[in-house]
Amino acid sequence: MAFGDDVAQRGWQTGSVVPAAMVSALEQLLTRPGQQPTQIADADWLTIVSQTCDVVASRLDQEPLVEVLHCRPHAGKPRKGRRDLESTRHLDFRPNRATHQQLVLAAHAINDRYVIPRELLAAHNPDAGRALDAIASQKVLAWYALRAGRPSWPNNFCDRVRAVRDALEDALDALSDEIAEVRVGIEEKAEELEPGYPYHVAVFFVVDEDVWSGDVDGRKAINDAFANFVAEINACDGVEVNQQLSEVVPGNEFSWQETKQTDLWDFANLSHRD
Amino acid sequence: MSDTIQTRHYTARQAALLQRRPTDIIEAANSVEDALEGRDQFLVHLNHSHTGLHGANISILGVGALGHGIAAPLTAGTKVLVLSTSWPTTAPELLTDLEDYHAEDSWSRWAGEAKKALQKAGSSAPRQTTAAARWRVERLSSLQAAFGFTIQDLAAVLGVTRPQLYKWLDAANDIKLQEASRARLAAVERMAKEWTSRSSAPLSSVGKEQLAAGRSAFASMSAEVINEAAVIACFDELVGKLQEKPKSRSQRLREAGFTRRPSVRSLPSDE
Repeated sequence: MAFGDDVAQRGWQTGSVVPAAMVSALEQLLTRPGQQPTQIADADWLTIVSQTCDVVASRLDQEPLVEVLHCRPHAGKPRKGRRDLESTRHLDFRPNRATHQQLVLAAHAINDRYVIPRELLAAHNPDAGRALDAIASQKVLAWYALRAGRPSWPNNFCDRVRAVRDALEDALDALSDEIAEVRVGIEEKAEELEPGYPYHVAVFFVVDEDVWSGDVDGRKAINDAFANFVAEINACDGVEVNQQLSEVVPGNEFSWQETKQTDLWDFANLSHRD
Repeated sequence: MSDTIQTRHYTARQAALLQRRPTDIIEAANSVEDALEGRDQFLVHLNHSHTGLHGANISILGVGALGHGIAAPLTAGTKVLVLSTSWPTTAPELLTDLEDYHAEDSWSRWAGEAKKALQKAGSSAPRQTTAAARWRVERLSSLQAAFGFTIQDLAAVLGVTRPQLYKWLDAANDIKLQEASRARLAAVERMAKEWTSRSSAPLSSVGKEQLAAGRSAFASMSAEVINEAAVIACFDELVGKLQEKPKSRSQRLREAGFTRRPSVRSLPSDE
């Protein structure tokens, strides 16, 4: 049997949890330079976050390592600013609503991430009672993808926008990604501007074509959100909205070129110095 | 700064008058007051506290409405303590131990932190809106939803400039519309209602196409004087034009089974 088949047969995949029996063998590997090995408490979830295709790759030498995320229980609800991919650094999430209805786990993208030898997976089965459900697995992978793919906005721009973050979040409350996407172009995207020199931004709400052509209520919600968002960001000290260019536009008219000239608006983009 | 610090709750202006503070702190406090102008009972509260011999006091600075203070931790460990629990109507309460007060550096650090926190608090204070202003933005959003015009085109239809329209679209601007503007807005709303009763597509898709009468709907709607009846009369012709429009590439893609991939944000919330 190929190595990967053995691992697959045991049930390892993205979201599998390392069983208690295996943790003791791992603890010496969960280290940081100059620090004591990380202690994994019984209630903690040491979760596989490599993609399943890598976890079950047939040859060990192709994928010698797998990534694990050390998640700790958090008492209470997922915290604002950490839930639902609001931060690229911290994540509070519900690992499995079916088996652990009330449980919330918390993790840090860098501090809690480790790599372990994949060969260890062939000696153990994953934890039988704990695993991330499909939604939580997707969320964790999306979290890492978001972190890797986020645009690097100037720190001074982020600092200025953070001052109105709550108001901007409120403005977008009624807007789901499925009806419109918020994109911004930042004229000085590579510059750290001193106080007194404003950043210039163009704001686009790109509307799903079906909503644009057939959903008056959806368009009203989008236009409401656009008005509020633009007003708030324009009121932000040190940021000016280019009112000649900013628009609500149908998705079938927003070009590939314009996509390249703008960034997807994401509050997680503001979190890199949190 | 080598003076005593009297603390209490005070308005920023009172703080500036009562206290001998570095100029930048006064300016920061005043700028907060400007930002909060018009808000009831909004106070600035400055505290400077210290690590004493018998334990640590955490320095804080807060800006907030009565009972709703926003606090930001300060990092400077200092020698002198000043605390306040008083209200604007009470006398200042001085808790400074002057003999211990020789921490010039800590004051400087605190002053820097205080200035930053004040500026941040001032800039993050939510902007105030009125029901009338929100209603105005709602009405404009409804128009945009019906017509799908660009800001420039909607401004032309409403007979205002683009910057003016942006001001109308900001609910924090409590603008009183002129009678002529109100009348024009009402007329455009009536036309929007007529249009949405005929089609759920935005009028802009065909709004600039030449009509049998020789003029586009947009041209008629942005005329100095709108002939409402004439504009509404052309809506049926426009609906016909909409139905004749060829499908877009993305519509054809979708019909062939190439659907949108859901975004990660569509995953159920963990809240």
